[in-house]
Amino acid sequence: MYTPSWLTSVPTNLGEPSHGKLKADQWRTLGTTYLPVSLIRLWDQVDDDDRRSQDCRKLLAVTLSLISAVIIASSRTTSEEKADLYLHHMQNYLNGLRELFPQYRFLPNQHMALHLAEYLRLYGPVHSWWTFPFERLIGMLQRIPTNFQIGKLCLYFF
Amino acid sequence: MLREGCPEAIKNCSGHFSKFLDPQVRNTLLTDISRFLALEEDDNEPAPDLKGKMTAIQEGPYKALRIYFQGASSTPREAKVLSSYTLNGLTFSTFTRHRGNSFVLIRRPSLPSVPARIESMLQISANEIYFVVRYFLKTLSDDPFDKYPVLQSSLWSQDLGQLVVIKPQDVESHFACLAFEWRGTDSLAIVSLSRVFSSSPCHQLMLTSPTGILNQFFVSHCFSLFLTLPPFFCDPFLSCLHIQLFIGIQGSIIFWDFQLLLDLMLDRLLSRP
Repeated sequence: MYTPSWLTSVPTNLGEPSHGKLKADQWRTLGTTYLPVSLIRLWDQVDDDDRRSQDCRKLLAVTLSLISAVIIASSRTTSEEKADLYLHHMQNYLNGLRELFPQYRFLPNQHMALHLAEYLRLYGPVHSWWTFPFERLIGMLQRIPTNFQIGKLCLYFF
Repeated sequence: MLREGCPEAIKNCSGHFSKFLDPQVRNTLLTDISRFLALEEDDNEPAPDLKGKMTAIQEGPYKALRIYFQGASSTPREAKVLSSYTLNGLTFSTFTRHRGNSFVLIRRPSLPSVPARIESMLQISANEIYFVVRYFLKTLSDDPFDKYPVLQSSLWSQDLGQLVVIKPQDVESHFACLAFEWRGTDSLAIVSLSRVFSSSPCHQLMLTSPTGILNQFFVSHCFSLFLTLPPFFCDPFLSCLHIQLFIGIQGSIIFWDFQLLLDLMLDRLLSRP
């Protein structure tokens, strides 16, 4: 896939343990750029006689609902209409998940994701209030050399 | 900032705020931040001295330029040929220089954007730059992406149209693309990288939160202040602990779900060969 040089790169060996955990921006790029093209190519054409093909189509619909929700939620503009659309796709995703994986136990994060529509209405685009800049700053702080002595002056700094 | 009584200091920061919110600046957080840090620098390429660098424009681009200038006799015959150009932090390149940077969506008034690739870039004068592009043609196959409008993806033919001249400001965003065969036709799947999702452009309502932006702006700068304090005033470990308290989880909820969904998909696929 051809992408511009500024787009966050995704590991070419995705799925192997060697690349470690993906960062949130890598997940977003993977989900909104690579997955739709790959999954639609693989699963959009349904063979009516094949149960697996039908299941894959359902899985595709559920996945694309989540991707749609991410695209709407991370848009740099928002509106009442978009907040409603986000909620619609997120509910579709969670309903589909429950249907496809009845044994799966939902987690608090999935409940909280349903509240994002409310926050889009109250606070506007997530770009102005999400916490990723702070996480980056934490990374900077963690790289500061210290003497591991809380409250004791380290002459190294002067 | 537009309200009466807004402090002068805040008004003076309007440039910072506008760059924080510019929807087309960059598409990822890291590049957003690097853009913000480079606030004081003019990251658009400085107007170079064109003396001695002008060359005759080739026949194809010249014809396109003549159409653009509607056959006027003032159509330039010489230009400086660029291989890349940076506008608002985004680098555009010619197709031969960098394919990914050459694929752009061109906006059209009241119509959907059209994908194109940049063939050449011509600098006529210090502030006059044109992109010579070729539009991709619409595929004759059915478009599987039509059913999913939110994805901002579409299927196009790999065939290209005539050379056309556009201004850099006509570019809406880059796009990612994958060439593959779809139902016997060489096709190109295109994914818009615009971070502005427009469900109904006519009724677009731009909502921004001054409070939220202020929080991001000032809290970020307070953090920066931590870094400049001597260690006996601000122990880095304690700082980290305090800062952890500020961390919400909203931003990472939906990305975390990708990981979960992929795990479930893999389970399902492996359990049913």
